[in-house]
Amino acid sequence: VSNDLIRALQGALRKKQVLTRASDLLCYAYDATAGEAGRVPDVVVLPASTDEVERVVCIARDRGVPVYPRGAGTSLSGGAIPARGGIVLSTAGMDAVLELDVENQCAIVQPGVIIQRLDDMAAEHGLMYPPDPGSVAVATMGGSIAECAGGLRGLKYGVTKHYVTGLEVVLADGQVVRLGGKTTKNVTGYDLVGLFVGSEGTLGVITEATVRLVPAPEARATMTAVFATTGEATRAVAAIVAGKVVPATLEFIDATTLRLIEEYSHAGLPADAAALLLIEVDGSPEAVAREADFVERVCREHHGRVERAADDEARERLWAARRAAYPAYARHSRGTIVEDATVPRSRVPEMLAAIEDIARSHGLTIATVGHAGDGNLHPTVLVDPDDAALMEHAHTAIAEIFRAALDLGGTLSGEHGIGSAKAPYLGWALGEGGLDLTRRIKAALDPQGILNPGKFTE
Amino acid sequence: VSADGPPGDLPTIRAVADAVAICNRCGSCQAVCPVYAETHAEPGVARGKVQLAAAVLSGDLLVDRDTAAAFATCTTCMACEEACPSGVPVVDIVNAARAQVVEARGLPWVKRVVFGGVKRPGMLRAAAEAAARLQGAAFKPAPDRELRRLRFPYGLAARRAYPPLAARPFTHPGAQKKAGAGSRVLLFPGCMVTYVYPGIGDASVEVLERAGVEVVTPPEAACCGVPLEAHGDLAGATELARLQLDQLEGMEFDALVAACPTCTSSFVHRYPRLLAGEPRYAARAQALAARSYDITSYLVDVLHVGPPAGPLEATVTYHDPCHLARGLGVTRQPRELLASIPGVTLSEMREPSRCCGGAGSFSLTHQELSLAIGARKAADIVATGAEVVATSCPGCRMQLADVLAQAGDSRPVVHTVELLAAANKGAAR
Repeated sequence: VSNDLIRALQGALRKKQVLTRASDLLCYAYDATAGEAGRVPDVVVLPASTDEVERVVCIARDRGVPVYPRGAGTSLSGGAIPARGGIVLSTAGMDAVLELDVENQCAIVQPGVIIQRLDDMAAEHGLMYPPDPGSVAVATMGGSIAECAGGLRGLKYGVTKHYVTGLEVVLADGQVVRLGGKTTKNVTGYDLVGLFVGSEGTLGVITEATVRLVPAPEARATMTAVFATTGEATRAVAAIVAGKVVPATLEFIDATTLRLIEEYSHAGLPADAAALLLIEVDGSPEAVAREADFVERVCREHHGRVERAADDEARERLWAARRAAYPAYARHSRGTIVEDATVPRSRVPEMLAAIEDIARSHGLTIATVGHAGDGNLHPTVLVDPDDAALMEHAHTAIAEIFRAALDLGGTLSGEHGIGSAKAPYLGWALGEGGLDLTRRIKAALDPQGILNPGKFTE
Repeated sequence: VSADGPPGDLPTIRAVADAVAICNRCGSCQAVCPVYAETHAEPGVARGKVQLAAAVLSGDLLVDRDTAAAFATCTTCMACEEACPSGVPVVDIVNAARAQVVEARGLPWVKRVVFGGVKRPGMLRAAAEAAARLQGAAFKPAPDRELRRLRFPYGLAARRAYPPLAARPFTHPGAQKKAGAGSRVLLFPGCMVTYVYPGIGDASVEVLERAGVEVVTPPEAACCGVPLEAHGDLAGATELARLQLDQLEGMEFDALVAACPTCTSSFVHRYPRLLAGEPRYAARAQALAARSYDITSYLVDVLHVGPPAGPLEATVTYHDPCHLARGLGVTRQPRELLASIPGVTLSEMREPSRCCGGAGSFSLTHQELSLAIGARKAADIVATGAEVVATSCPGCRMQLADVLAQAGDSRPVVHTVELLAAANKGAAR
């Protein structure tokens, strides 16, 4: 570590904002990605303002030192891991909601604001911020915008990129740019806001965001349907979508997951269940009643055993199964590699079959939950990180899953991003032309390559 | 293992290696950690601490002063354990790491002297009594409160306002032998009740006797040992566990009851664990654990007490102590007791089981953090508009009184049993 770097940072920030102790640095060597070896950064900074971020980036620029922007560190593709040492720049402390504009249904937030907090504040005004990744209670707005996080409501409400209308970004050269604004419509020049959403910290540091809020639905109806075969469940999904009904949530849980949930929570799920759908429709009370009846009828026609929630307590109970999936994995296996290969939704049955084949051929346990409505599946490989042979199989299986998704007209990642974990496969999805364009954009904005190096842009 | 030296064998932290391995770094603990909410820094949160423990185990991190400081920065409120999808026993890991630090580096001399005194009940009593007499020289009354501030402000302690030590420690003469009396309860007072809040002890005796129970107290008001374990002095804590079992040996009682959930959890959880490998004590510790209760749960679940006699017109808000709510799973019973008082209206605060930041000596060793965590609690309390704050832990009571005073608020903070006793007294008057 160069003392000059530390001194410069200490000169630019208050002492408490510059962490250099070994015990502090170790806590920034990882994110939530399984099996991605991190590297301990040289220093961690906790800036409190755009000004301070700018100073840090300028210090890094002058010395050619890497900067790794970081929010809550819950990313699942290695995006927040400092691949080669340098400065971890955490914006977690910049957590002010600067404006909640009810009239224009939007909010201006600093990057450290927790997603859930924004949604809670919006709810006080009958509004909501729809993107809700699994980490919604801890993930930051800055991190989720940089990763373009999705969530359970993606089918009806879209993902993070559909809600960001303005950004303030500190570029690699230290310049601060303000892009977009409060308007939904904005074609003034390139879509520069869109360029930074999902850029995974490789193009700039997000220091402020303007996001759209939408009216919160007046009513909702929740049900689960248990199927004896995967085919019946996926055909029910197709029939629901064909009926022009767009549920807010349309979650698929496979037989392996159901078995693990039952082991973990003894929720009383049927032992012969091959698949479970969790479905929630929302909107006006009339539309909800009509759509819920339709969904229920479709599930029954496909031999689903339907349970519809009569009240909030029952709704919580139905959701409990889905929420138990991840804890059930975690308690079954020490390592859980969650992937998010995504296919056009009509190809979901083929993708599920492919995942099963891959698991069998490698002797692996792969449990799958997924946002069936939008084709975004989460095959999760249950592993022991210390079992080298098993890990080898797991990584081969994951590559095969990516291949299968691409062959079905899908993509590598629906909502977790590429980061370092999927970087080796990016070319499969983008081709030479796409890779080249990616690198040219990176080189134009960050010629020194100091922003989040070691990730998909290299 | 030498101080700052290579990791060597590290048996104490090695014992929690399997627990450390369960964490898959999802970060869910950030949502509930009171320390992280103030610092926004990863070393403050459970995920960070568990990864530090992993680094100590792998030899990537030395057991040095910085490591010790990182593990010390935790209120052990257990909120992370409740939120953890993987069920990581975070507090066990933190305590093991703290103990490993002490094994590797020894106790700092101040703690050696203090804990040496705490381990000897006679010396603890003498010191507390001397301090009670002399405290006027060091403390001056804080405005408007029954609290005191340091006369000669030293560092951050200048900001804290503490209750004075009791002029007369809590004692109970022992049960009057009554023919046909119901069950007999050993009331374990603990240090805070004995030396700071004897009124909680008196109220406990009152409500228990009114319920037809004989009350006895231990021969010596010895420390339960939690403060020692929290600072990594596992040997000292184990010594106190043995001392407690020894002094209770031969006493006849149906249940052990305490008004301090940290003391109660010592009997329920810690002693069986600390003494598991000692044939002389293991079975006794298990047997005692099975009949140890928090006082509110004993009153409700075992004695099924009725409402107190008299009315007490007040709006009351209730703070859940961490070691009672999460440590012992007791949240319903104190509320039932409070609601049973004629005239009392319960007004729930936001996040009633969020840590108040007191956490025993954490309030002294990490004053700035403790006050910042407490300030949120004070704001939540004030927002209820309740006239009285009730809790079921003397440590929380001390912290709540302090942080409310810091916020310029003067509403009283009492233990649940004190309100019950007051309601009875009101009726008697």
